[in-house]
Amino acid sequence: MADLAAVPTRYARFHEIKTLRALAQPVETSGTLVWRRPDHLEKRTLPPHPERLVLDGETLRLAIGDQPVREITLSAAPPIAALVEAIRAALAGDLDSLQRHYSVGLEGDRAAWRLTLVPTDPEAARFLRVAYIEGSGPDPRVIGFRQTNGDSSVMEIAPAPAKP
Amino acid sequence: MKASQVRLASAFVLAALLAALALALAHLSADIADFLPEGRSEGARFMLDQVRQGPVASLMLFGIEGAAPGDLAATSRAFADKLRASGQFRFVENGARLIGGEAADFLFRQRYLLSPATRPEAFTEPALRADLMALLAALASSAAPLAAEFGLADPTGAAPPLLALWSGPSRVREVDGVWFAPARDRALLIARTKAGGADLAGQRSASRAVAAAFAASRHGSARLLTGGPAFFALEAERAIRGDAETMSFASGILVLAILAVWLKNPLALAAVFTPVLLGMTVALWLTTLLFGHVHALTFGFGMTMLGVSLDYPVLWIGHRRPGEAVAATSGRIGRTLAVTVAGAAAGLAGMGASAFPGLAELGVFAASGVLATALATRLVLAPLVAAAAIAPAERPAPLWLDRLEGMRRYRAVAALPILLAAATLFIAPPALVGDLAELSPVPKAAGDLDGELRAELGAPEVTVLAWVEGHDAETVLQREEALLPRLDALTARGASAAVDVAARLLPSVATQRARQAALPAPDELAARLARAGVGLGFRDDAFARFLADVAAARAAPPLTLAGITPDLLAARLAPLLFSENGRWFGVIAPSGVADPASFRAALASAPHVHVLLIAAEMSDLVESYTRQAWRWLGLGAASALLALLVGLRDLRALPRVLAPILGAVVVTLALLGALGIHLSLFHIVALPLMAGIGLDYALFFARRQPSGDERARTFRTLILCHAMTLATFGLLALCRTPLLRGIGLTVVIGVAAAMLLSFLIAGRLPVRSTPACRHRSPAPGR
Repeated sequence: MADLAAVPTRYARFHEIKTLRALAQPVETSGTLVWRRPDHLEKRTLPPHPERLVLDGETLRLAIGDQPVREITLSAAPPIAALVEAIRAALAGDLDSLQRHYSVGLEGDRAAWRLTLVPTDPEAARFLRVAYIEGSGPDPRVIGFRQTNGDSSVMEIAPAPAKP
Repeated sequence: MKASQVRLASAFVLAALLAALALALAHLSADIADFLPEGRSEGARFMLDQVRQGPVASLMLFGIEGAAPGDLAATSRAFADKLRASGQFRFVENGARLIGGEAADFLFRQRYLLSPATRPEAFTEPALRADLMALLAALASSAAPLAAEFGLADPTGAAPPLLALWSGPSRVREVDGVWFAPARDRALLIARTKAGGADLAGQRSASRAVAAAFAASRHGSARLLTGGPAFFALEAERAIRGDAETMSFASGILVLAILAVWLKNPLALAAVFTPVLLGMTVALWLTTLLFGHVHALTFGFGMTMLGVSLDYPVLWIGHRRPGEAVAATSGRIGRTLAVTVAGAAAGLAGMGASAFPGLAELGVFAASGVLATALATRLVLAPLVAAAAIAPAERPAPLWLDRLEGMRRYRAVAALPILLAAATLFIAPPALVGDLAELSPVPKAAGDLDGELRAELGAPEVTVLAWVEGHDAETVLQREEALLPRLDALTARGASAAVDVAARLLPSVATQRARQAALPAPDELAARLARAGVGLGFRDDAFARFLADVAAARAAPPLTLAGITPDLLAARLAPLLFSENGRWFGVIAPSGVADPASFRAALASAPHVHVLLIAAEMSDLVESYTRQAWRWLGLGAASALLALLVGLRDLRALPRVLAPILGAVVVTLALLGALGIHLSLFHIVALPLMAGIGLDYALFFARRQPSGDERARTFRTLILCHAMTLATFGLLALCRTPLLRGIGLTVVIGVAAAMLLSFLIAGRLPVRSTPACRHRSPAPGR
C-alpha cells in the first residue's frame, strides 16, 4: 500500500460488471477514474449508462444520465459510502482510511496482492458482505463487492496515461 | 440581667422563632412563571403556558465549538451518547439518524398512507414505465446499492418526500455524520428533557447531566454553548434565587452593623428587630394564605423591606427620653408615626390591586408587613423598651444642627431642581420598557446565542405561534390540511423559511382513506407493472415487495397519533399535536420568520386558526399592566392622602409635607430618565415604596419640635433610618435581576431626594436667634 500512496494523481480506465438479482442480465459499464490527493475521486461512465460521480471529502455529487446532480453526504448513505470509500482508498493507497471502515486482510506478495475488506460499521455491514481489492505493485487491478442481498460487482482497472 | 431585660430578650427570641417557623411553612417559589402575567384571552393564556411549560419549553439546543471539526464531531457523538444514557432526555439528536434505524423503517413501511406522493396518477402505466426506466438507470449507476434496497420496493418514490418532511426544516450540514452549523465549525445538537419546562427541579438535574456528559466527552479544546427555554428558566431562577439570598444576607449584615454602631447596646438591637420579625411573620403568613405561595422575588423584596419597617422601632426608641412612660413617648410621636405608617401602607396596598400576580403579591406582603411591624412596635416593643429603660442619652442640639437648619431660610432654592426635573419630564417623558425580555435576569448575549442556535438548527422560533383547535385530533388535522396551501404560499413568498405542521407528518384519517382509494388493487397493479416493464429486463419477482406493501397499505387501518410508535417520531409530533383538558391543539410552528406581520395576516383570515405574535403579546401585556399601574398608583396616592388628611392635626402643614415627597418623585423620574434607564413596571412599583419612606422624613421634620434636643433626636434618628434605607436599597441596585435592580435604584435616588427636600421644606424655620442668645440659654433640652 505504501507504493500506492506515493502517487499524487492517478488516472485509470475501468470496466465493471454488476450482477443484480432484480435484473435478468448483468449490467456492464465502462469509463474513467481520476483520483487526486488527498480525497478527490471522479468516476465518469460512458453510454449506454452515462454517469458522473464526483467525491470530495464527505460530499458526493452524482448525476445519472441527464438527471440533475444529486448531492449526498456519505454518512447519510452508508450503502454508497461503503463502495465509493473503498474505490477511493484503493486508488489513494490509503490504508488508514480502509482500516477506519473495514477490517482488512492482506494476502499474496508485492507482485500479486489481495486485500479483503469486511465492513466494521454496522450500517455498512447491513448492505455489504465483503469487498476485495487485487493489485500488482503500486496499481490496484480489480475491486469487487459482494452485497448481503446477493448482488455483486467486479470492477477491473487499468492504468491510463495522464489526461484521458 | 433584670427581669425586664430578660423579658425583652425572650420576646426577641420568640419573635425570631415565629419568623423562622413562618419561613419554614411558607411555600417559597422561584418559578418566574408564578410571578409573570398570564395572557388576556383564554387561548393566549393557554398558548403562553405552552411556551413556558409545554414540549417547546423542554427543548435544549447545544452548540459545540472551539476545536477542529473532527474533534467537534467526536465530542458531539460522545456527548449525545452520554446524554441518551443519562435517562433524563426524551430524545437527543445530533445527526441524520432518520437514515436507517427503527424510525426510518417505520416510515418506509407506512409510506403509502403518509406520503404526499400517493396519488392515483402515480400508479398509471405510463408513470410506472417512467419510474422503471429511471430505476434501471439507477441500478446501472454507482447508486445501485441504494436503488436495489429502496428503489425496487418503492419505484414510485413515495418514501423520499416523506423522509424529507419528517427530517424537519433543518438547515444543517454534516461532518462525519454529525450536524454542523451551515456557516461555521460548530457541531449542533438538539434534545428534549423528560422533565417539563416548568419543572425546575427536573431541569436542574437535566442540566447537571448535561455538564457531566460534556465534561466526560470533551475532545480537545471544545466548549459547549447552550440555548433553549428550559435553560433560560433555569438561569433566571438561579439569578433570582442568588440575588434574593445574597441580598437578604448582605443587607441584613449591613443594617445590623449600622444599628450596632449607632445603638451600642445589644439589648436595644434585639428590641429593634423584634417588631420587624413579627411583621415579617405576618406578611409571610398572609401572603401564603392569599396566594398559596410566596415567590422568592417577593421574599427578597420583603427582606429589604426590613430596612424600611425597621424605621418604626428605630424612630420609637430614638425619640424616647430616658425614664419616659409609654404614654408620654406616644403623646409626642405616636400620632406622627401612625400617620406615617398609614400613609406608607396605603400607598403600598394600592399595588395589591394589580392584576399582575407578582405585584399583587408584593403589595400584600409589603403593606401587611409595614402595618404589622408598626403595630408590634407600639404594642410589643414600646412597653418592653420602657420597662428595660432603653433610650438614647439626652444630648443637646449641636451647633452644626442650628447651622444646617439655618439653610432652610433659602429653601425656595429647593424649588429649582424640582422645577427643572418637572420641565425635563414635560419635554421628554421617560421612556417605558415594552419588552418583558428586558426584565429577564438572563443576559442579552444568552438570548442572542439561543436565536443563533435556533436558526442554525432550524428549530421553531418562539416569536410567532399559530395553532388550530378542535374537539379531536382528526378535526385538528383536517383543519390544518385546509391551511397547507396558505402555508406553502407563505414559504414560497419568503415570509417564513419553513412551517412545521402535524398534518404534513400525519395526514388526517380522511386524507389517508383518499390515499388508500388511490392505490390500485393488487392484481391490477401487478398487471400494470408487468406491461410497464416490458423489455426493460427486470426479473418477474423484482417488485414483490412493492406489490406486497401496496396491498398491505390498501387494507391497513389509517394511522393515528397513537400508532406512531417509534420514540423519535412520537417526539417529533408531540409538540405539534397534543390534547389538553379534552381539547386538541395543532401547533403551526414557523422557523426563519422574516415577516411576522404577513404571517399573521395570512392566517388571521383563515377559519379556526389563532395567531399569537409572542413578543407583541407580551409587550401588549406589559403595556396594559403599566397603564393599569398608574391607576393603582393613583389609588395608593389617594388613600395615602386621605390618611394624611385624617391624621394631620394641622392641615396647614399638608403642603409642607407633600411638597418634598412629590418633589422627590419628580426628581427621581427625571434622574432615571437622564441615566438613560427605561422605566419598567418595577420602577413604577418602587415609587409608592419610596414615597412611603419619604413620608417618614417629611412628617417627622414637619412635627412640632418644641425643644432643641427634640430636634436633635429627630434629626439623628432620621439620619439613622436614612442610612439603613440607603444601605439596603443601594445593595438592591447592584442586583442582576432587573426587577430588584429597578426598585433599588429608584428607591435610592428617591429617598436621597426625599431626605434633602424634607429637611429643607418640611422642617420648620429656625427661630431667629443670635449666637449670643444661645450661649445664654440654660441647660439644653428643657
